Amino acid sequence: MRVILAEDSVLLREGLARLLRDAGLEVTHAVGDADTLLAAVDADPPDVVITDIRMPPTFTDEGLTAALTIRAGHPKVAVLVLSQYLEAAYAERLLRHAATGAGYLLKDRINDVSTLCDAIIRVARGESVIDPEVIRTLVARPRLDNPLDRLTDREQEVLALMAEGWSNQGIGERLHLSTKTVEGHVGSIMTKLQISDSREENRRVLAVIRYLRN
Amino acid sequence: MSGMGTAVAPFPLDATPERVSRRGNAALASVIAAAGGVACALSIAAPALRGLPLHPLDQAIHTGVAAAWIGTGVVALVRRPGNATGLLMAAVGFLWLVGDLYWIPGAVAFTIAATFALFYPNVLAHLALAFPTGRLAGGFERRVMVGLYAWALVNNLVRMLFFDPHAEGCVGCPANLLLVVHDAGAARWRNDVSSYLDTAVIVAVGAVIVRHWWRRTRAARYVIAPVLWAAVPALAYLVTREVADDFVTLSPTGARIVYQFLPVGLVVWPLLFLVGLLRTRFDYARVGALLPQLAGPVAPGRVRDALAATLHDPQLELLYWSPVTDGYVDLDGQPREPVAAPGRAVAPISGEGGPLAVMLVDEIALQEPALLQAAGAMARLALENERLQAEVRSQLVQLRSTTARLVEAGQDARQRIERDLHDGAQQRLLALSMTLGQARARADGADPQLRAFLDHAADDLQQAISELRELARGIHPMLLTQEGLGSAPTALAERAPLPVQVTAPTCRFPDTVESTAYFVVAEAVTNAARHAAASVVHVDVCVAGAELTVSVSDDGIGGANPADRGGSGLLGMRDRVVALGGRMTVTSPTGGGTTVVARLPCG
Repeated sequence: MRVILAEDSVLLREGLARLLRDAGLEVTHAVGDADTLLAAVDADPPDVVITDIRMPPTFTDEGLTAALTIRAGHPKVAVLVLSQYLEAAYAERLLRHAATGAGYLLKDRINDVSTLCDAIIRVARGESVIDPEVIRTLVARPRLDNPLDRLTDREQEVLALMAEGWSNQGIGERLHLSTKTVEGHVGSIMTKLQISDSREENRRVLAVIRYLRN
Repeated sequence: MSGMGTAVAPFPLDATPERVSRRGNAALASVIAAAGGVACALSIAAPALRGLPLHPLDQAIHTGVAAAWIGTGVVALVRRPGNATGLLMAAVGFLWLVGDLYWIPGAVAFTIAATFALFYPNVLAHLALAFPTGRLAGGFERRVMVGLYAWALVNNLVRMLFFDPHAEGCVGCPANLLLVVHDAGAARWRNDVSSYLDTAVIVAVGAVIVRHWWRRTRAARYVIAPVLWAAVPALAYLVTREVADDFVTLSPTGARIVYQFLPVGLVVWPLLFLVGLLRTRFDYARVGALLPQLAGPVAPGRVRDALAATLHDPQLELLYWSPVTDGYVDLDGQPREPVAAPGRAVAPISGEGGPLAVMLVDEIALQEPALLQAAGAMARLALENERLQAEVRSQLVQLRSTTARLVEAGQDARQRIERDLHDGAQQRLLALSMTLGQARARADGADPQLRAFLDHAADDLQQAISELRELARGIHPMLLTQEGLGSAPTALAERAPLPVQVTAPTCRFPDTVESTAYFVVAEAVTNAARHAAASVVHVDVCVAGAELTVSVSDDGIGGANPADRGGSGLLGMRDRVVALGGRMTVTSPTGGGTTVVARLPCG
């Protein structure tokens, strides 16, 4: 799998590039800012772009913006945004503009190469990936007359995995359930929470996150 | 109050009261008063002594005219030392009594009486033109008066050359010592000519007086007005008498009215002069009325208007001292030299710390230096007040801009710290975390104790990274910089330990406004969670006009004290809100929840 890496910190960029190569990925470019990233993608489109969110020149959300540009201009190139911000708002923004093949992962995950590689493979497959920590915060937040209380423990687990972007099959594998059973839980959740949005796996991620954020 | 006396510097006056010897003036006034008393007493006594007492009413009117003029003349002399007005008035009174010399036997007294009996109207004209300064205003007035006196003298002397009392029917009269022409026809011809000339002179002098009045400034007219109005009955008397003398033959009753009762009009004049004096007293009361007008904030130009009204001088100008230009400026700030135009005078107003302003006033105002001083002192209070207010305002502006700079500097510092944490420590910890992750992967299947150490280290490191992230976020959330109040309070609500419902506009505001509003929300939510035992918090951010309103209310126990220095942080919130020129209210009845409302200017 061909990967372009964008990260402004030299220390992290070189470490990450080595980590990914060691994991068997082909890192075609490792760049330090969004403009170079866009040029590199235009010149030599990879399978996946892994980008830091905060890069020169403004050190705010250049990586996120570049990711959206790439998803719009290169539908075959998946993007995985590595962020130091635990903010569901950024995740929602990413999903709003790129419903498939995009991921928002906390930078913390670079300590676990298998989680990182899983996410890369999933976005490359066209799935969405949202960091479990982001979803945990959303699910755990206190609510008035908490509607999540109406869900069973299992349904809550399924809800969180849906929000993380897992497909029914993926959820089944992780919870050791059949896909059919997962589908049943998903239908129950959607009904109980009155989420009327599409049940299509890719689009439901955004619907669920929106639900959780409100 | 000790400074009040020095509020107005001495005026450039030709004859200030100070330059005239008060003692000499008082002596002169006493002599005139005494002489007047004697003259009036004789005027009453003489007819009785000669065995021809007048009707008491006639006597009262006749002597009353003299007494009124001499009396008010003395009063004027005392009140306006160095002003010739009093002397002129007394002169009218004495000249009025010249006719009484008829009562003294002998040709000399008779001749003097006959020559000067009708001289006083010329002095009246002089008085009308010279009032209130006692000086004739210009060359024209001076020439008119010289001409009038010369004409009167010549006319009366010529009349005496033809005047034969016996031929006129006065059998008991003494001889006219000046009689030269003993021709009745010539005398009649002279009388006819003189009648027309006299009438013409009276009309001409009346016209000059009207012109004189017409050309005066309003301030001067205000002072002269009572005296000029009084001239109307006096002139009416003189004209009627002239007509009666020369053109008609009166019945005995008509003659009595004209010669004995109409002089009452002459009494009115000096009395109205007294009214004029009282009017000045009334002006002092007007100065007192300036005080409430000029107290408190005074609009620019208000001081001038008040002074102009008080001094009856609509042309009054006020030039302000400007320490910046080291000179005087007008109301619009344009530099002006404090130079008086002809007929105007400069009256400086000084404050504690030097010159404050100058008034350009009508010369006539210098007649009442005390009034001018009092008005100036009042104006000084207002001007000092104005100056102090301007000083306070400029200090306030300075303070505001300093505070605004401090707020911005604080904002910049927070953003820099947040960036440094992210780009420095956090990146290093992440790199360390990555390396540790690789080490753990390599250690798979190695010594279980080593693995346990590595896992422990990884957990601690993850904790440190999370804490550092929250610390940076607490210092300044990046989301606020990027998406403003539309996102940051919602993100805050997502990680709050209690339900927080947020309504906020997505539009953007200046950095300092957004960060202060966010700070208020964050602090108030923290308070609700920590101290209020609230079950829900409502955050409402809305913009109305040029004001951003942030309202945070909970349903907790209330009783929060905005002045509390510990814990709640309400004081710090208020400080930051006020630093931006905003205001903050805290409503927190015991058991009734807490509502914090901050209003920030955002225009």
